[in-house]
Amino acid sequence: MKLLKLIFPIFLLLLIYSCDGGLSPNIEENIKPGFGGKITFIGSWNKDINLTYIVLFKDPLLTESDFNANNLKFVSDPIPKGTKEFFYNTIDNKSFGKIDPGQYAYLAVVQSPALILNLTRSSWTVAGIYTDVSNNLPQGKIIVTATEFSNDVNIVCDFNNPPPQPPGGSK
Amino acid sequence: MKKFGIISFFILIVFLSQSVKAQTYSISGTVLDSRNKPLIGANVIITNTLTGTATDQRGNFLISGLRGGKYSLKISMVGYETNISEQNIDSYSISGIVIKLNSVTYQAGQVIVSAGKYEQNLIDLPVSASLISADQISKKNYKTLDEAIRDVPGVSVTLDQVSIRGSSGYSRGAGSRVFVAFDGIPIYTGDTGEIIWELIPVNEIDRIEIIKGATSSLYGSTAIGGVINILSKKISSTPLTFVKSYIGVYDNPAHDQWRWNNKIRSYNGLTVSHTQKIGKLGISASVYRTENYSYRQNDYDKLLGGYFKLSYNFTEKSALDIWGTGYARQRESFLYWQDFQNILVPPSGDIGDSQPSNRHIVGLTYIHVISDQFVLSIKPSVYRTFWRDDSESSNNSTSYLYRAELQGIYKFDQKLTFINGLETQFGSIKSNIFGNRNSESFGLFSQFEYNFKIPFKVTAGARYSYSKLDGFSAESSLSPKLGINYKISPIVVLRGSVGTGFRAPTLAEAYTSTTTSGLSIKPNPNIKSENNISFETGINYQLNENYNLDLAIYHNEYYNFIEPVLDPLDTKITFENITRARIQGIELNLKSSYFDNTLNINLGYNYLYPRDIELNKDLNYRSRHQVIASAEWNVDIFTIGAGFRYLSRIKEINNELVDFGLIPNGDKRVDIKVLDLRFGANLFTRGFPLRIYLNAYNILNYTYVEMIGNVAPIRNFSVNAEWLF
Repeated sequence: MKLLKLIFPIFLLLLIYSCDGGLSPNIEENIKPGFGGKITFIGSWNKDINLTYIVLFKDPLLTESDFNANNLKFVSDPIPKGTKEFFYNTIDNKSFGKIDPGQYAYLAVVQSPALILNLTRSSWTVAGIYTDVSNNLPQGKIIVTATEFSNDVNIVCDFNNPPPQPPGGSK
Repeated sequence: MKKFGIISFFILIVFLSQSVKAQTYSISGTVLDSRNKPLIGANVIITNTLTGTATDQRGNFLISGLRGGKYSLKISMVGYETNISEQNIDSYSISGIVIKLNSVTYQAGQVIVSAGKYEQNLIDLPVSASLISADQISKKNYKTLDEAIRDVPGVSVTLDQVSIRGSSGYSRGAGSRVFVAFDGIPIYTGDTGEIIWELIPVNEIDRIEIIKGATSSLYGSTAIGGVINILSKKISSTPLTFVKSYIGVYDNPAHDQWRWNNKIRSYNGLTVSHTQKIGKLGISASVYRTENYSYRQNDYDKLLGGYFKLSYNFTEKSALDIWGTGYARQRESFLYWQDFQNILVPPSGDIGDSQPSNRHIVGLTYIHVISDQFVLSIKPSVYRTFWRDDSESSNNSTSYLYRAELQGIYKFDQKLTFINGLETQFGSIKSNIFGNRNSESFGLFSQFEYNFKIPFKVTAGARYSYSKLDGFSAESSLSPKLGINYKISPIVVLRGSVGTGFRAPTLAEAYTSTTTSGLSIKPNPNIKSENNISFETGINYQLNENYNLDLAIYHNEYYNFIEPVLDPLDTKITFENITRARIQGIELNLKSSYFDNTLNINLGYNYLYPRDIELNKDLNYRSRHQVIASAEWNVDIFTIGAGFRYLSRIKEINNELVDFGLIPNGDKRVDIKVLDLRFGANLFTRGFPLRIYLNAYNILNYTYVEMIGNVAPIRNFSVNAEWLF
């Protein structure tokens, strides 16, 4: 009977401990880290281009091998060929990826003549790189906060004046 | 040739059944519990023979066709102490004997057949084991077996994939590390190697035996993490018809945002079975139908199944059992949720997807008691599965698994028991995701148990396993095992074991190539077998007849451990040998009873430390802490019960599936805390052929996931009624 007196409080504690309800949608509702904006294309589209995406890498692209799936955190919906302006946000225009709050090293628009999405660095060309002028951050870098959704992350792609390419581009 | 074989088989049956025509007698009686209530389904067997029966709805049994002589009746039932009754038939039949079985807190006086492939007392085993009785299955209205084993400490189930002490994570069923068998015949499929729990009708189960820890030395490749052996009911000597019907409804989800449908979501099932003996032939047959409208969209499930068992006793010393079970099923596909705002709804592209399937298995067991010392058995089986994805992927698979086992048990005397056997298996698949492949395996095992004069038992054995998959080199392994059991005193028993295990990859792990719901899986032509070495030590302490404490400490080292991983180069999932894993843990079980055994309370706790040694992190989909608690109070015909299940939040998942957006918000997970309540009345004991139970599952409507992107059943209520006449 002594044991019974011990076991009943354990049961009660378990019950009380279980009353938090588990998963709740409210946790998610207030937190929407991410960003959006406008991509502007200047000049004529290369007729060989088949794929155009906005991509986000966590770490800098210092070597060809940094262009890998572990480092790649977000890929947008494909941008239609010939587009002059493309409005996007990372929630509605997502091919894959999930953006957590934090610092990201490289946000850019990339293009490829390939027909399917791939991670071969040499088949991609960078058409435009994001620059956060207001915070004076290095080219490509972006900071995503936990409670704010930035709507002014705009990128200009000037086909007549392409940006510097990370290592491992087309030879 | 086939005709010749069939004719020979029947000639053999006729020949064996022409036993000596002599004066025969019978033994009949009643089995009661300590409160003089009849026990239904208790097994009554004449020792050293294959003659036996099960008690009917009044607890009565009848064993006929006996010649004069001394007989020893063994009466057993899960939850009760086994009773031996000596009977002497001189020149007349014996009737009206009354046998009482006392309930036990621990299964001290109970027998188990799965640990050594022959009958052993549970308390004498060198490894940890648990039992689930038919009565528990009935009271809790478990609709499928996986629901029942979720309530066993040390056992967890992720969706439908079972894991004993963290042996498996989640891999959509591919490559089970638990050997699951029905009457000793394995029921894993020939293609994916998964367990289809719905294949076994729960009303035909006498008990479920669970052996925790590597048992590859006896059972081979799949038993690297443990064994679950489902034992079928014995056939009653009197005709019995059983009807079970249940209906249940799901409540609304805990948050209105997650409601996707205003209709009542329900589930229901109906089982009709009959069992009787006609002379030496025992017949049992069931048909069952289940339907579940589910709490989730595109998750409807309808199943129509059938089961039969024929038992023929040629003589007291030789018997044949043939059983078969199968079903046709139509199930919609819910792989993962749309997102966290729509957790009960699949991605819009998946709506309308479904998976029709049908699966059939037939098994045969022939046992011949050649002498009081030597018993020989043969167990062939064939298992056919078919399934098809009615979705964009159009995946389909048809597989056959043929298997046979020959086993001999030799008891030199009361001290030494030898068990030897060989097993062979051939699998064949035709599939658009696995290809057209064959597999074959062969095993040879030998084990002995020696009882020393002091209460000390040693078990030692080994198994040689050979395995070959199409396109892969053959692999073989020797899996030895050593176990001890030492009764320090009548109330304290020490046990310990060390053994190695081996698991060959399944065809699914080697060859799967598909894309479904955005998830791509690719084959791994370099996959190898995995191995482990496992250690366990335990102590059982029977404080008095009302309290039993059991403690086990286990340690498993895995080599070339196979887990599903995402290849970062192409974002496809593949099964890989992740090289090294270590799983350690402690399991504690306390069983207690009060008020003349009317109140039973059980507490189980399991701590798991599952590590990927290479990456220095937890293995995926394993909870570190598990608590299983249950209480049941029986007052006259009434039963009130509660069950609580806790699993700590899984530390590691396939994060890549979330990071790449394949399963939106898939990282959302919490501790698992599920409380179930039940109330029922058993009128069988009052002579009325009905028992009825009300169950409330997840009464707190706790929202949780076992597998990422998959909400487990929300609060639901069911009523089940059983008629026995």
